[in-house]
Amino acid sequence: MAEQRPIISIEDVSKVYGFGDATTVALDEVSLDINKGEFIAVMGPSGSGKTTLMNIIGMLDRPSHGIYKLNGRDVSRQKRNKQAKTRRDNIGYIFQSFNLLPRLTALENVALPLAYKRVPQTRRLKAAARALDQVGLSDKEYNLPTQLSGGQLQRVAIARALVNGPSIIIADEPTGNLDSTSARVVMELLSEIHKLGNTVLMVTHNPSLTRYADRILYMLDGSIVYDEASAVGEMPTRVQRAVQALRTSDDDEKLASVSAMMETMPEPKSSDDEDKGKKKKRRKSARKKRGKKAKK
Amino acid sequence: MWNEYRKMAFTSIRGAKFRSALTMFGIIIGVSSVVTIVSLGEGVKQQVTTQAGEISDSLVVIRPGKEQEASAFSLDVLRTYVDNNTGSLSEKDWQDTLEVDNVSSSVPVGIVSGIATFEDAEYNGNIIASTARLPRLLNQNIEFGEYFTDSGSTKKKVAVIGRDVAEQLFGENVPIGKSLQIRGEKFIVQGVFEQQDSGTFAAININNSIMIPYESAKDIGGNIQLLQIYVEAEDATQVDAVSDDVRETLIKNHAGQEDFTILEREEALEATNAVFYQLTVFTAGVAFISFIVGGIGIMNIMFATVSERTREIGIRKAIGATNSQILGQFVMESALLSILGGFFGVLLAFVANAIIRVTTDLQPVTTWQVVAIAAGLSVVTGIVSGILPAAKAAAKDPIASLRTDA
Ligand SMILES: Nc1ncnc2c1ncn2[C@@H]1O[C@H](COP(=O)(O)OP(=O)(O)OP(=O)(O)O)[C@@H](O)[C@H]1O
Ligand SMILES: [Mg+2]
Repeated sequence: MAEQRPIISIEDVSKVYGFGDATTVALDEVSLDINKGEFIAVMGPSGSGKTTLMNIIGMLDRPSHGIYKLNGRDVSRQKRNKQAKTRRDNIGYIFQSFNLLPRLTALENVALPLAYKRVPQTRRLKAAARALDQVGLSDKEYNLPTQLSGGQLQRVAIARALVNGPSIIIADEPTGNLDSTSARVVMELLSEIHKLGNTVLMVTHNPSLTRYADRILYMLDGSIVYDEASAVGEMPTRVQRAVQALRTSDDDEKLASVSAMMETMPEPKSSDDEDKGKKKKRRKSARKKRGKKAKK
Repeated sequence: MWNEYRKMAFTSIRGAKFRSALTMFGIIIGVSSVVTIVSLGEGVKQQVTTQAGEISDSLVVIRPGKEQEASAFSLDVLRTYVDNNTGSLSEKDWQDTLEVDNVSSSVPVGIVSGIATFEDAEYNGNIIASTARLPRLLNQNIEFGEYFTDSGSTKKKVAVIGRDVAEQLFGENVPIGKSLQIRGEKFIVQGVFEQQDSGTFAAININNSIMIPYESAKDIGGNIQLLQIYVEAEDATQVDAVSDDVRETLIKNHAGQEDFTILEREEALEATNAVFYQLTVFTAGVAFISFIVGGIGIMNIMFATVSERTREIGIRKAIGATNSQILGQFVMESALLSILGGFFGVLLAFVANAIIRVTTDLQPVTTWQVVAIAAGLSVVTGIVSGILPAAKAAAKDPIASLRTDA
C-alpha cells in the first residue's frame, strides 16, 4: 500500500464558508490519501463536513486552502471548464436524492454524461443500454423518472455514474432515501463496482452498511478523527459496539461533551464511552435532519 | 455539440409549450407585421413600376415636346402627344441616336396615319411603325406566328397585330396569312400578340395595334409621327452618359432647342422611391422596436427559466457539463425560441397577405429577401437576448444549484 501512488491525495485541505463572525469551517486542514480500489465508508454526525469533503474530492467544489491531487496531478487550481472535464472523465456521482432529469427517459439520463463527452448518439445510447443492463433495469429504458420507484431511480443514477467508465464513484448517502430492501440492492451494486477494481467513496449514516467497505472514516467538526481499515463483510468492532450501544442506550448527552471527547481521543483502541457518545450524537442529528425534511 | 444543444433545447421547449408560445409571441407579432408591411409596400411598388411603362434599367425614352415633369406614371402619353402635337422628333433624330457612344440599339415608335381595312371591314386602331427589337424591349410576347426581323423583311409588307384587331377586323383568333390593307397596300399578317392586360407600352394598347416595319411604312407614303424613341445603353451603368449624349445630339439637330423630353428609369422612379424610402424607414423602425421588445421578452423568460432550472443545471454540471456547454445549451434554447417565433411570424404574414389580397385591391408581394432578413434578425435577437441568461446559468455554482428545490 505504501509504495503505491494514491489515486486521491489531499493535503491540509480546508473549506471555509462565510465571512467574519459568520465563518463556518466545514473542513479543517484535512489530509487524506486514497488508493485505487478502496471502498471507503465515511461516517460522522450531521454537519461534520462529509458532504463538503465529497464535493471537494468530486471536484464540484474547490478547497479554500490546501492541495488536491488526482492521479498525482494537482487539480485544485485547474480552470473550471478543465475541472468539469476531469470530473466527467474520472468521477461518477451518486446522490441521496437521485438527481435525474425529469423530462428525460432512463436511457437518456444515463446517456447524458456521454453527450457532454461528444460521443455520437448511437454509440451513446448503446453504452447507456449496457449500463442499465448492468444495474438490472434493461426493461425500464423508456420510463421517465416519475414512472420509476426510488430504488429503481437510484439504480438508474448508478448506471449514469458508471456509463463514463470512471475510476472513482462518489456516493453521498446513496441509500438515505430508500427502504431497506432497495438499499440492499443498491449496496450490492456498489459492492460489485468495487470488486471490478473501482474506487468507491460512500457517505452513510447507517453503521451496518460499513460492512461493504474496506476502510472507514469518521468525521467530526471538519476533521477526520478516525481512519480504520476493515475487512469487507465485517463490521469493525467499534461500529458493532456503537450499533449495540444505540440499541441499548437512549440517553441524550450534550453534543459539546461528545465532541470534546472525540477531540481528546488518544488512540483508535480507546474507550467504548467515547464511541457510544459519538454514535449518539450522530443519531441525534440524524433525527433532527429527518425532522427538517418532514417540514418540507 | 450544437446538434446536442438543439436536441436539448427542443426537449425543454416541448416540455413547456404554452410558455414557449408566449415567449415567441413578441417575435411572432414583430416578424409578421414587418413582413406584411414590406410585402404591401413591395406590391404597391411593383404595381406602380408596371404602370411606369416597364422601362428597363438600361433604357432612355425620348418623347416629343417638353414635359414639365417627368411623368412616366402618366397613362396619358398618347394624349400628351396629341395635345402638344409638336412633331418635334424626326427620323434623323432616331438615326443619330444610333451613332451615340455606348448605345446598343435605338427603336422608333411611329404612328402611321391611315386606316386598316380587310375586305369590307375597317379598323380604327393604332398603326405603328417600328423595328424588330420592339417586342423584346417591351417584354411583349407573340402568341401566334412571329414578329418581323430587321434583316430581309424590313421592306416586306407584313404586319403583327393585337388580339382585338384579329377578332374585330378578321373575326378570328389566328388570321395568319391573311392580308389587311393600309393606304391601298396589302400587308400580310404574320403574327398575333399575346393579350396585354394593362397599359404597359406607354399608353398604347397593344391589343388594338397593328405593327409594321418602319421601312415599309415609309414606302407607303403618308406621315409617320414619332411618338417616342427607345434608346438602349449597352448596360445600366452607362445610362446617364448615354442620356446626356443623346440630349446633346438632339439639341444640335433641333437648332439649340430642347423641345423634347428624355426619361430615364431613375428619374421616372424617383418620386416612387421617395415614397418608398419613407415606408422603408418606417418599417425599419417598426422592425427595430418589435425585435427589441421581442428580445426583451425572450430574455425575461430565459432568466426565469434559468432560475427555475437551477437544479437541472446543477445536475448537468455534476455529471460533466462544462460551463461553456451550459452556456451553449441556453443560448441555443433562446435562439431556437426566436427562430421558431420568426418562422410562425412569417407564416402569419402569409396568412395576413392572403386575407389582404382577397379583401382589398392591394397585391402584397413577399420577396425572399424580406423573409431572409426577418429570419436573420430573429436568430440575432435570440442569440443576443439569450447570452446574459445563459451566462448566468453557466456561472451557477453546482453545489448550491443541487441544493435548491427547483
Ligand atoms: N454553502 C454553505 N454555506 C455555509 N455553510 C455551509 C455551506 N455548506 C455547508 N456548510 C456548513 O459546513 C458544514 C459541513 O456541512 P456538510 O454538508 O459537509 O455536512 P455533512 O457532514 O454532509 O452533514 P449531513 O450528514 O447532514 O449531510 C456544516 O456546518 C454546514 O452548515
Ligand atoms: Mg451531507
